[in-house]
Amino acid sequence: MCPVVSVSDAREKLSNVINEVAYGHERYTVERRGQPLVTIIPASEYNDLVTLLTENGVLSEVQGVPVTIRFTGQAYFISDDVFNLYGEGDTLEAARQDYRTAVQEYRADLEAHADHLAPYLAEHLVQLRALESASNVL
Amino acid sequence: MTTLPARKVATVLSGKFAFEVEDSHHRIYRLFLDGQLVARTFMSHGARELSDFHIQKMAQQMRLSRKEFLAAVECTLDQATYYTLIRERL
Repeated sequence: MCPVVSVSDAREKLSNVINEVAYGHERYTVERRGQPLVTIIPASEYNDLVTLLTENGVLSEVQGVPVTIRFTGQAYFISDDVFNLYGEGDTLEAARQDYRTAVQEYRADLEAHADHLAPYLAEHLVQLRALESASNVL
Repeated sequence: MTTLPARKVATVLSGKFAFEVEDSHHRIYRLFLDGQLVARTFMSHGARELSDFHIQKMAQQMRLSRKEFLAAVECTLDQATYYTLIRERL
């Protein structure tokens, strides 16, 4: 856990906080009324994390679908290799919601054209129905 | 990192490749060949630029490699070639 300082303490000790983070490998969380607002980490560490999350991402799962979550420093991007769908957003939750919507729209679209699907799309529809049966959340 | 103007990609999809367009939460593009839905892709409303992430996923949704997708947008891959490729990959 990072040391926690209040906004007023951080303001007073900003120079020290910056030096400790930049040269002392420390990280600080700044809170207001007990709620964490920001975490201060070295810029090089932030850049390394963004590079890692942009290039490799993190494996996760949304609505039973294995996904990769990436962060570019400006936006979150969630994608899967099963249906090749994606979602994006300024926040992780916004990207998750966008991905959920993409899955729901995809399912509805395939259902609407169920009698006229190319084989790979028909297979996707079978998989989506199975996911719904398994999780009952789609 | 490659980026493409979203408007240019949209024009290629609905124009050159004759995808049907429908607005929902996302803008959805569907391609029907021989009475079958063979490809479906989408873009966010208001998207101005497509990043590498979008390009990779849209290419997969269209049954194309990234290189073929870029060729499609840059006009070196025509409709007849795309339709031949997608029929081979169904």
